[in-house]
Amino acid sequence: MSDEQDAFLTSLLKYHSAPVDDNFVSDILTRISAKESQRTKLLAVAMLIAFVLSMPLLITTVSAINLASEPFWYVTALLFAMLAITTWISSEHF
Amino acid sequence: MINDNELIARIVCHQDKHAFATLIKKYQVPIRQFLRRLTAGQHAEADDIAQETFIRIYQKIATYSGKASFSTWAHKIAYHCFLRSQQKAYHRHEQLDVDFSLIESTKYDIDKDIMVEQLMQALDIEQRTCLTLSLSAGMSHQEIATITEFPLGTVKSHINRGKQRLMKVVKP
Repeated sequence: MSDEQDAFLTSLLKYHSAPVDDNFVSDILTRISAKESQRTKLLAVAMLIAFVLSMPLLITTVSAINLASEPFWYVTALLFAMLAITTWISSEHF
Repeated sequence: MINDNELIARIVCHQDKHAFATLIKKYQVPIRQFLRRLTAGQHAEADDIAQETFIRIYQKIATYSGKASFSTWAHKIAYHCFLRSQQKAYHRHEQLDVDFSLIESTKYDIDKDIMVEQLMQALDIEQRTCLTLSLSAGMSHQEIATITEFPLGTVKSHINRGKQRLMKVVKP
């Protein structure tokens, strides 16, 4: 292809005008907020279901084990494990 | 003027929507122009894909490594959003029925863009993409290879074939 044809095509194919739309940015932000809100609601429902399902297990565990008599490190490890799981579930990458 | 890296840091660390809005305002024009060429003038479809692109950019912004420029990274996401849209919908292209020799004499820039977008129908998607990124967006062959994930030789081949096909249509 000759230089003249190359120059012709470069001039032809360049962007000649810019699309203008006042609502473009706000529409995107609205959609992102809607997705985040939906995700938060789903997370809340999932945690509620998990809590409800775990209630019988929790009651059995509490009545079977007296945490006050357990070693301090046992209770601390259990709390850290619960915190880690909660953090993982609530992270963006979950 | 805040640079891209500072805006990205604010978005990643603080979910700063104002910073993201600034980023959209900076890149919406090239992304939308790129997608209008890819969709061969289907403006509504192009703008839908552009919105989807920016939403995905927001979701994936923490994965931006900075190896390529933000513009290259954003165009890559736009290109892949376009490909996904092509898989979902059936696309019927109209027969080219425009006298493209009139492009040079057209007075208004927006009419020139519309005619060029329709001209893109003469090319297949790979040629359209490579030619637009090269001659319209001014990207290097290496950047185009990063965006499209084609080998460098394939990018050059698509550009050359696209140019030859366009010359046949515009100046038969």
